[in-house]
Amino acid sequence: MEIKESIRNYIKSELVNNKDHRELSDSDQLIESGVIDSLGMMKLIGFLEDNHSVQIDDMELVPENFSSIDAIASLVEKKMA
Amino acid sequence: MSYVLQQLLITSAEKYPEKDAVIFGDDKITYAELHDKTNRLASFMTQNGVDRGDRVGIFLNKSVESIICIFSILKANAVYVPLDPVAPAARISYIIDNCQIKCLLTSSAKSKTLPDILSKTAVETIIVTDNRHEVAEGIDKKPILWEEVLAARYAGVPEIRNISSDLAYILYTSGSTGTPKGVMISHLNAFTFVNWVVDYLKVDENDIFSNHAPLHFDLSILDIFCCMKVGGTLCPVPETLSMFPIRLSTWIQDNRISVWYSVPSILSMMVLHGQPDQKDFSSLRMIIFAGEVFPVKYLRQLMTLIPGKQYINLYGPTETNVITYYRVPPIPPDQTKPIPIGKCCENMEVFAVTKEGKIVTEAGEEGELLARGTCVARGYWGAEDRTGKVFVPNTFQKNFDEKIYKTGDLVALNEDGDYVYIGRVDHMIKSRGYRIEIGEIEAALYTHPSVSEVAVIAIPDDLITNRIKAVITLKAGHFLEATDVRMYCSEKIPKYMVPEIVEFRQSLPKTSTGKVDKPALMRDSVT
Repeated sequence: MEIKESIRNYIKSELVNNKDHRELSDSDQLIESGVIDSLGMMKLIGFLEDNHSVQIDDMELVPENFSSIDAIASLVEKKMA
Repeated sequence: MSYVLQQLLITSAEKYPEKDAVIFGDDKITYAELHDKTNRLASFMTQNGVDRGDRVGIFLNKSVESIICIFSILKANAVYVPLDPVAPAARISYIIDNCQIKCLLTSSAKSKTLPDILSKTAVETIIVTDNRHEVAEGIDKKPILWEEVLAARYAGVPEIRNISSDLAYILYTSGSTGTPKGVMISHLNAFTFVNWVVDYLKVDENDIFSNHAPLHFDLSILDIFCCMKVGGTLCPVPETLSMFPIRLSTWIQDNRISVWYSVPSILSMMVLHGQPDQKDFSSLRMIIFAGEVFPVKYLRQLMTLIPGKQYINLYGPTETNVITYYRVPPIPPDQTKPIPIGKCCENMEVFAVTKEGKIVTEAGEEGELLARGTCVARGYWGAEDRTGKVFVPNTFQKNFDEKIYKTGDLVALNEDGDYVYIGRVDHMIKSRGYRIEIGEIEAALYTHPSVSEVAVIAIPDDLITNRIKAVITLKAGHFLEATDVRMYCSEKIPKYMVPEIVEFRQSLPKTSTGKVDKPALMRDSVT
């Protein structure tokens, strides 16, 4: 499965709690909108590390890398390259 | 001196007019400015019908304005009711109705997240802390803009008409019967705690206080009112920063925080991902935590990574603010048992009572912790029956004709005379420091038309104390997915209460008496 699709599916099935966010686009804000909160962030990192075999470094755990599905996918792609 | 909380600001504004009272990012306000703006807003509210003892809601994110609102409401001799800025509209609506909020302080952006409830509730006046006219569609009440408020004329400091036994604020916490309950805190209740903190921790005007907890969470009381009492500087922590530990530790460094106070899970995340040993924490004097048990392994690591600081564990339910404290000594490497909650603060008394009704006096004995004194809240707003169950006559000690508070927390005494937390006598749990009644989550789930039976369980977790799992059976012919369940819940209950894990089953295991066998569900979930 394409990386972005897998991340999108995970966020939509596991993290989205609000029906306003059901139609999330890849560029939508995840943090300001509250789709990802602190618990969601922990779950998401666990998912990325388990399913995409990447290790997220402390310094990479910053808003810029998690602001949207696009941003998360590009972080994972960069790390896998 | 008046024992009312607005007096703290009035006194500090006289002593330190030019000092920064609040700093939030690029936004800051001095004591003189804070005093002036709160005088204006308080006078404006009074002129617009806010009377002594009226409840005024605050529905705002962290900001300088949110602190202005708190002190303005107090100066108007009214009661502030902080509303969780991310709570579902249904819960906000319940609280507004429950304590009859007539005046709401919010922002135009936040007001848009309350579709039509502002029209349906008793709210008469909406004041927005910005100058944008647009509010939620369908609201016929025109909001009053900040510039209008700040231009209001006022004649001196609003007269202090409230007294120490009047309510200062109401904090809503999870309720086991499906609706939240409003804990009524008087000025004297808050003062008892604030004065103890200032004396015991010796904080002063040079301190820079973090404000990590949201305003509807009682940890914020220490931050805000102890800071104002000593004339320190308050730095509210932006809400999303907690997700990014490395940014949070940089924030603590850059803001030269000297008094940090939060739930332990935030500090555990800092240990794991925040690299605090790489930061300059020379300004930091003390790290205070409360709200849940701090896992010893993370606390020990934290004390190693940030050495030479005071570490203080505070304990107390919202109904008493804080009642015990424990100054953490160096933790031996082989210690696994949790640190105690400690001994009672000044001007209050706690004692534990065994199942047989005997006061615990011996090390090793267990009992439910009870609290007496001016720390004990007035009860729950508009809920005499709920109040009567836990605010009870003191039948345990002779000579004291008073109401004491049953915490529902099981404790034991240790050899040092410290209390040690053991667990709950009921179904309340903690997650990330939040109090959660399992019954409130189950009640929310039972309102779903497809749900037949529900059991919510708490799965112990090292980092956040508990993760919430719902096990559900559906009515015949109905189909639901986990996402549907979570979305449904998040319209009813706050996000921190929404089950993280949802499992569907054909039936729930039952005990011989026909009750849901939660221990069996726990065993299935943990293994």
